[in-house]
Amino acid sequence: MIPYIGCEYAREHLDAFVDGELSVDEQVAVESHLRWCRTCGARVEDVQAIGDSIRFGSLAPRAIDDEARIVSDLHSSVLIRVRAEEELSLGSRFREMFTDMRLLWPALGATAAVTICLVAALSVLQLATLERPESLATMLDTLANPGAERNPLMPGNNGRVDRLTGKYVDSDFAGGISLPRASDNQEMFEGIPEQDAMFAVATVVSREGRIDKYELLKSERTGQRTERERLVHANDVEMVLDAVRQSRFAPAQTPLGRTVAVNMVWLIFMTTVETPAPHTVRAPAATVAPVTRVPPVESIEEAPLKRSDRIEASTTA
Amino acid sequence: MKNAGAVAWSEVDTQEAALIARCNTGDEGACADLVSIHQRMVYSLALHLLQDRDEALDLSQEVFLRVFRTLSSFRGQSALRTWIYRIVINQARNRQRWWRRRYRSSQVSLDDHLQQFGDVESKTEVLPDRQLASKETSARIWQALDRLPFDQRTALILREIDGLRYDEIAFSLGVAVGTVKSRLTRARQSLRAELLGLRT
Repeated sequence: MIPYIGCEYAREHLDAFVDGELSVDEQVAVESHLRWCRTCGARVEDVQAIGDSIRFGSLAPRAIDDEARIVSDLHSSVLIRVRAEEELSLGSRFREMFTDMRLLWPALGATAAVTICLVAALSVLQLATLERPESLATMLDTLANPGAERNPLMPGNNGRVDRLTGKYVDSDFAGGISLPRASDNQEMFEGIPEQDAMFAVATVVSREGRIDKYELLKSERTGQRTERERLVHANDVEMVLDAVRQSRFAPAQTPLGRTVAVNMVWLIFMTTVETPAPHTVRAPAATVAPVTRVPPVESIEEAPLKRSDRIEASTTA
Repeated sequence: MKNAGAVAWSEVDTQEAALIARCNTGDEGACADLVSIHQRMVYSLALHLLQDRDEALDLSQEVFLRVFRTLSSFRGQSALRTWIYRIVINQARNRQRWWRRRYRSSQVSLDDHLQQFGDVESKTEVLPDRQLASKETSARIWQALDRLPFDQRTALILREIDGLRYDEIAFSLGVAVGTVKSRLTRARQSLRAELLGLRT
């Protein structure tokens, strides 16, 4: 029994029908459709006419006859070139690889794309390691480098006793880490108004001797009853912090001489020392040789009643 | 309608394998035989794809050089003839891009070509009722064919002139059989529009 097919199905298979590419069943079905469908029949005739026109106008028969002599010599010229090619240099062979540009450009494009992806992936990994302080890689790096700015140490004896073995674990930290020493004269503090005050600043002194981080822990000043006095104090705090930022130290060192970053709490006191009253100054006994360094009483009296001085102390946190 | 020349690989397996083996050993006589067997086919396809005799001849030489360079990698995945078709098409595609970019203005139409080389006498078997197809119709169809995209034009030439099967065309073009069908359909639709335009 021949299955019925509609025009839509038939038209999808007309080209294959003309080309003889259908299975037997499909061929029979399309043929039966063409017996009654003039529209599809006309399409088949058009396809066949197109094929006939192409074959009719083919250049090959005429041209090949014209070129018969040339074509017959083709193999000899090819063989000559083949023979010559066997003696080609390596450079010539390399250039031949690029004759088929259809494959070269996609290959180059794919290579470039893969390279860009690799570079991007490595950059992301690198950035993630360096830029994200909470990343595991950064944490491991920090723990692996005690004494770095991210993992500052505490001055003092850092030797420890291993809990498992009970033995003293020696390291280049054992024996104490020196305190950073001020390498300038702290002249930047000279500009702070002379008034009783105390500032406590937590700092991290880097391996280069600079203040890497700082935080004002506490600041006190006598007075501050009026708004103006509070403003003056706020200004003084800024000056102190600015001075702290500019401070330079000889960096802390382990006993083995390795410079390390350390935590330091910097206490800055500004106190008022009152000179003793004139009546309390006792003249040296006559039997004691005069002390030349002690100024005469007059000169002490002529001195100001108050003299501000700065006492700085450092401790560790 | 199958082309008698489109024989399957298994039918010539022994002969072709022996010829290929001799060529791979550098036997010049075998190379000359291989060229002689396929040169008309190669030149014909190159001529139809490029529409220029000198270019086609030059391309044919390039094709055979490439055949001998890569013959050692031929594993019989298709008939040798189909494999050579594939090389011709790839070479023609590359050359046509370059050639059309530089010499588009100097291309000769088929009418001029026929005028220059005289009338065309088809030696292929054409049904008597199809012989009414006029020279003008054929020329217009070829002009329309030349305007088609390279892949559609190649598929139609391989089918109508060289008589390749769909699977052979697919291998030659490096695409799936379904793609060949769609390209043939689109190409014929374009040419049918041209044909209908001639009738009105």
